[in-house]
Amino acid sequence: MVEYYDLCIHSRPECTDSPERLKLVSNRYGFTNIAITNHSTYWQPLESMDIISGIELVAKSAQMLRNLINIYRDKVTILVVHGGDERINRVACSDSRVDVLIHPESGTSNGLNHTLAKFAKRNDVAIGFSIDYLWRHRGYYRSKLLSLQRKNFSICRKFALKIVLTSGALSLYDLKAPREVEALSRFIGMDGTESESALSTIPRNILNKRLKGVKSGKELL
Amino acid sequence: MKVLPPTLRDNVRYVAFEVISDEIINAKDIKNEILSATTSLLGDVGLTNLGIELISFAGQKGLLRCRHSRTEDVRSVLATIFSVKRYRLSVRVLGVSGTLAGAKEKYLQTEKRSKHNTSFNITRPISGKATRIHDSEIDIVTDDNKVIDRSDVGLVGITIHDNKELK
Repeated sequence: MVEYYDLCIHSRPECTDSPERLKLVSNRYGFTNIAITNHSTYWQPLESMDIISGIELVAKSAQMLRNLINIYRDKVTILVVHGGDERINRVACSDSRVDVLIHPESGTSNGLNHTLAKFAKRNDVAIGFSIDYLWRHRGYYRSKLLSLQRKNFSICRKFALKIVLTSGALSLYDLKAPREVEALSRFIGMDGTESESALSTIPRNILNKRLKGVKSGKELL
Repeated sequence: MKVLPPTLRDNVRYVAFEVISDEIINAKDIKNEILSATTSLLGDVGLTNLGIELISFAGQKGLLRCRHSRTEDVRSVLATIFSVKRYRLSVRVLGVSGTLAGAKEKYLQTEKRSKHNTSFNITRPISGKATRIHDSEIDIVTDDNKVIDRSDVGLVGITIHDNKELK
């Protein structure tokens, strides 16, 4: 049986629902586990040990992002960077301590090019595709974001980058079952195998890498 | 008019779905919302290709008919439904079946979940009034408007594990 993971979900205190409730609902939908990645301005350590701890770093400058990575890298399992700004995307792709660069696209630009793709490949940074805009918006804005994500996906495919699919949920109503996420990812251009590995194998490998790091750290001590 | 022979009829699939919402939704509203979401995502031609039709909707569960090759499109359309009459909701596909009887038997059997309304104040993990309890899940109406605005929902969801007093 395939194990599915959603690596970018927001909970209390940033949003309404508690991590426990989100885990319960996501398990019902077929996810093995979820990572709670609240934005760095609202971040608090998780009480539950069953849920994967994470953070989504929001920075206004490259230096600020570097400082935030230094502060939070050892505190969480999954470190996600809130993309959009070109300078932020560049720093995120150039730092091997970053796990996922989420939504590198912004309103007008897709935020990813061949140079950043090479950096991301070298530093093993995954590119996150958050598809919450597909139900949050309709019309021109949705089609614009979809076209930017398609562009990014074609770059990721060309450079064989790791891709992570996420619902980017802000509440339990935003949680979508893996089959639904896979169905929606077809609009970005993903085929069945790509979307399945973006929800299962790749997140699992990222988790293995980080959890292994924690274990070896303990052994050294 | 005579009914078409089976070889000339469209192959259909029946999609069973469940609505998770703040408030009880009626069949007419959900039907309109499905049609609106389909035309918005796939356009009028897409709506025709899907051959989508709401067969039944009762309680929180419903049944749709569509062309047999278009079930993935139906999944996408249902996933893009955001709200009905300002009430936030989420639609989950329970399963797909080739026959009406099969779909009803497999997916639309009523679950015996102890779901009831309640009213008591709560302070942890967020202050507010608990309104619904189903199994270990509790829905709360809170005064914290900032959190409500950020998530764009009406109720706050917690479990009994979030508050030791509730266990």
